Amino acid sequence: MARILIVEDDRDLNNAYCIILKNEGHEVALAFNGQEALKKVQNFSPDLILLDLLMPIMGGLEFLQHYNRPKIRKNVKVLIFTNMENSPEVTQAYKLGAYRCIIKSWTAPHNLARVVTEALQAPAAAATA
Amino acid sequence: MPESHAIAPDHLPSEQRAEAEALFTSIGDGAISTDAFGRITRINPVAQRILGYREDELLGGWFPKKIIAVTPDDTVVNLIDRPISKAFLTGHSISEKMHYRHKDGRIIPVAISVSPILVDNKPLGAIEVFRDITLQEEIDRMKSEFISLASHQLRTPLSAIKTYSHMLVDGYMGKLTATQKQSLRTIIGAADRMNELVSTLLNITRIESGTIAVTPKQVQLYKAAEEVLKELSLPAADKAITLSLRCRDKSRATIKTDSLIFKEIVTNLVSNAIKYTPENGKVTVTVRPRAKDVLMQVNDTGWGIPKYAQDQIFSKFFRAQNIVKRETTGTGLGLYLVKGLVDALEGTIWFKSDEATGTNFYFTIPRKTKQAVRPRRRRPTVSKQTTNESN
Amino acid sequence: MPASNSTSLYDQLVRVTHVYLGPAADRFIARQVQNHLNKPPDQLSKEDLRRLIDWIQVAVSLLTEDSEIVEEYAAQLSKLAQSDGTSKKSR
Repeated sequence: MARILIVEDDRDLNNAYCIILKNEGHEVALAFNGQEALKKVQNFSPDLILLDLLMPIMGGLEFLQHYNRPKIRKNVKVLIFTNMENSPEVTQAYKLGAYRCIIKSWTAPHNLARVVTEALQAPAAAATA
Repeated sequence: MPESHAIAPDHLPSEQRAEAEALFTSIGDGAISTDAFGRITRINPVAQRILGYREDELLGGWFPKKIIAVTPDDTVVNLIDRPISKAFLTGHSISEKMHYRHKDGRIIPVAISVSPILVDNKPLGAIEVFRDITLQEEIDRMKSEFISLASHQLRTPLSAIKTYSHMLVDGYMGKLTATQKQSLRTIIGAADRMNELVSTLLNITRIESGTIAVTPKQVQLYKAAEEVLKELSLPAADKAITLSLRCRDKSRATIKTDSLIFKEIVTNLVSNAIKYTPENGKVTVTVRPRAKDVLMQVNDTGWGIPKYAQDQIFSKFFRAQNIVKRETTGTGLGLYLVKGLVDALEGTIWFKSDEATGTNFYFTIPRKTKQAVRPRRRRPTVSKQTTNESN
Repeated sequence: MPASNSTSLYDQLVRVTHVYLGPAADRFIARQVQNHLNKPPDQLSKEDLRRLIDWIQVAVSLLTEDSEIVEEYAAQLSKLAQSDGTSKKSR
């Protein structure tokens, strides 16, 4: 049972991930771009963030740059969700402290739940870059 | 040697000389001619405009020093790599894209065509014609960006189709009949194929339009392969396939190459291996540093490639019959793409396969890519003209 | 770089070129012979070399601005290409 923030601009996908994770017993908050996500984290302190990279208004990388300021960020795992595997953006995301990158189109719901559980259980310093 | 019957301009009567001048001046692209010592003898108005120089600033000057060729990041190009040098090394016309530095420091992308000027088969100098291709490059860049964006946009609804179908099958929205589940699995399969097709078609567009930009940097191949395997761990786990990575000498597995292209090659080979291997199989990636290159191996315990099909395996749209029977997804474009990407890195790719034991794909990444001759000057005056001069 | 006791015309040509172009000499000359004469190095004759000098000179003129060095090098090549050691080829 954890607090998970889903940051994804596609409403259908956002909703789907919400259903899947609530079904696992997690508390879920939603944001549709980086700017909304930055507002959400003020009140909703997540244990894990599912972060899409390509979003309007503010994308995932910019969100990470702002979110990395020490006061806001604690030991939160950030899972990058993207369809752009092997892209320079993914490399940059790892440099900004992302825990892992998941390819959306390869990830069935049961896999999403499993990946989230694994990430939550991993020790805080075990970020894979 | 190429033949020419042209008469040197200085030997023409004055009327014909005036005509020759007019011809040169009227050329619609930039035109510059040099003598046998590389000094600029003529420069037409278009060339002056493109480069930002007046005629008197260039006439008589040494071509390689006056017309500075650079890479897109403003590093001066080695003299021996310049098209005009190649024209004299080969004796033929050379056509290439290059970048010239404008007088004000700007970098202008140009398409160059340069030829030796021959009289009685003796080279008397060179004639270079070039065009500013800034607009063309801008259009190409916009095309690439569009393709990238389209890729993402096409994949998002596909992800939604797949995710919701999976959720229905998995019972998130209530219990379904067996027939309903089967229909949904059909939808999922179609979405998977479409997704793959989108990826592969877009990559092939990149290869065929020549827009694969290779950006060589120091890459730790073991680490890069490890990242790829991590991303593929989920599809592998779905079939209970064991993924492993081996390298005896990681310290020698760092090479100057393009990390993204390397990872794309490994991703394609490993995801193929996963796809064409039955459940509980194994896929192993091995990194073997060698003296002149690094040899990569992707080995699977899968269905193999039948002997009759092995010649065509890298051609477009090919899929072997044994695969078509067992596994419905797959477009046959993947290995065609992989070969294109390996070629872009100046490596080679081959394979060994057996329907009984599986397939081994091998590809190499060379430590040194093709570089032109770089003369080292011994005499003091010559040594000032170093291959990286920036005067 | 050919062995110092090698006397083929090609090897002598590479040795002379080595003074001006360094280790790149071998490849530079090999390409000139291949591209302009379309024959293997061991078949290079003095007549061939006389034909090549103009091409080599122009190519080297694009690698160094110092025309004196270019002419000095070309003179060395002409000496090599002489059949009887008399008049030098002038440009």
